[in-house]
Amino acid sequence: MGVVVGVAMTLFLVLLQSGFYFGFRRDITVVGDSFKADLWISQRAFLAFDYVAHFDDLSCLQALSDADVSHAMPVVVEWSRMRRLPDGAVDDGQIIGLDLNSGVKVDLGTDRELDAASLLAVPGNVLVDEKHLPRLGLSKFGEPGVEIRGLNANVVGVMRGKKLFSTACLVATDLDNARRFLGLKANQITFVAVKCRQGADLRTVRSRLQARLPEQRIWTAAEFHDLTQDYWVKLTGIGPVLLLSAGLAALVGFLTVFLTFSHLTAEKLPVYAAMKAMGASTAELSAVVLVQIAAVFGLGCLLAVGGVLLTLSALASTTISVVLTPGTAAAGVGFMALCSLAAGLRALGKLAKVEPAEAFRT
Amino acid sequence: MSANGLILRLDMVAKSFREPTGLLRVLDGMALSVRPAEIVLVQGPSGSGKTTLLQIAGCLLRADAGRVEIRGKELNSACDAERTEAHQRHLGFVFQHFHLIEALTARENTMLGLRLKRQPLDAKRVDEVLTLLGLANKAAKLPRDLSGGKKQRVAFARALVGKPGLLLADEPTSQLDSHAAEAVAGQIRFCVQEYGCAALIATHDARLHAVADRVCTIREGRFDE
Repeated sequence: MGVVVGVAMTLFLVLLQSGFYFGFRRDITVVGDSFKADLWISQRAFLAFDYVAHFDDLSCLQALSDADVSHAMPVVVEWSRMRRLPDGAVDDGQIIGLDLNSGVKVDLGTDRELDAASLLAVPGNVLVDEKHLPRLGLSKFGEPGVEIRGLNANVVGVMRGKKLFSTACLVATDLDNARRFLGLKANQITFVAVKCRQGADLRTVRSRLQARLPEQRIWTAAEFHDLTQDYWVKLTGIGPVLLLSAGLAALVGFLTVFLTFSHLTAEKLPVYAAMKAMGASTAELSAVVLVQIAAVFGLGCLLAVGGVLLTLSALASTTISVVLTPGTAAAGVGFMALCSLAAGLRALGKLAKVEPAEAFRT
Repeated sequence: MSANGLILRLDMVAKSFREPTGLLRVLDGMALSVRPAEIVLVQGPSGSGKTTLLQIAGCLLRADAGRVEIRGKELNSACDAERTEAHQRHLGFVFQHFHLIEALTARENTMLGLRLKRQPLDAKRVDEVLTLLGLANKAAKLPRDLSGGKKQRVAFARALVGKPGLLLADEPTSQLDSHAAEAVAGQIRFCVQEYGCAALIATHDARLHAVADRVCTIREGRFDE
């Protein structure tokens, strides 16, 4: 039973650490990925979605003047301090200002019946990410719950499945509201999300827009996603640390499974020697060892998957993100299967070398 | 039965092991004969070659020189298949540390003795042996639920169920307390009489002298009978 628990704990850790890493990867681009945009326009010096400079919204109009651009949405993004009104505590937030009437669709994760465009057009109205709601300590929607740079913000709804990878609160509101909260000028924007007409050649449109907007940079949606992801995953220490944790979990997992199965066989070697002395063949004993390893692996997997499901359910209401797709789970189980196989082969090697005469010595 | 009526005959058996300090001669011209239904104890100080003798007699180790006959057939120079066949047909083993399978009950461990000898899995015979050894009411117990003495009896049952001609036992009482050791000694005598098999037992335990027909002491690689 101890061996089963060891295998289960190992797989549990490997799956959970991988889940944390993929959760982090999802969260860092979840806001940008919510826009159904084909192209993005940003300031030239663009690092990531979260670290940006503002520019004039004239470029939005210039984009719209392209024959192959059907819609363009000016977007404002900036970090801000917030004060929670119920207890006065200071919190961090990322304020996203949107023009929901622009025609570029955005999946905010709100209830279907919620008319976000109308609601957020009301001065001071905001949406916050659902997982942050308990921290704000609000008793109901529609009343001032937070103060952003001295201005009251009324939380009128929540966004499900949208949250930042940090502990900061994601706040979405109308473009004008956002400018007001952030103290930006009426013409300042951070991005333009561009939707092209169906059938338009994105590379051609991009070249034309780039030629027309030399002070800005035009990105495809995929480039925009990758740039933000690469910034956080590769250029900051956060991604490497999480990746390292997942890698270490895999390494520890490999060693644990390998050593556990090796130990399991090693401690039984005198018995196997006795069996050989009494007439058992190496093939028969190998089959016993392999069945034993397969059984321990199978039970360990069941226990680990059960533990992971329980943990996912417990973390669902917290701000901790774990993304575990069937593919990732299958890869984790497959990895452990390979570890078990490697350990099994080593065990068989030991078994083949056991001399029946050793049964009389041990 | 062999022409000379012996179940085991060792003649001029020699065995050396290569050690860092040089060649260690463990058995040097050893001779031993065991008749059916005879109990022979082999004693001697640690490292005197008792275990090596059992390994050679059990066809688990080849002697460097000499003859090893089981039921009249010379096996030391025989091929592996012949040795395996002879060892499966004629020999039963009992080990110092029992070497029972922890996941199997006493009955299943006994049944394993038949399986490893490629004999039909005769449940009746298994129950007979267990009853003979006073384990009828322990047949469904796992080894961890049995005392040391009972475990050794299961080990004897596993060795005897295949009806071997010669039982080879290595320190069968060394792990047992005095009471259990005496009980096991009595069982050995009883089983040998009941099954007609001989027993070659390597031991330090003087309590086994009472059941032995002969006690042989190894000195300098030979018997001092």
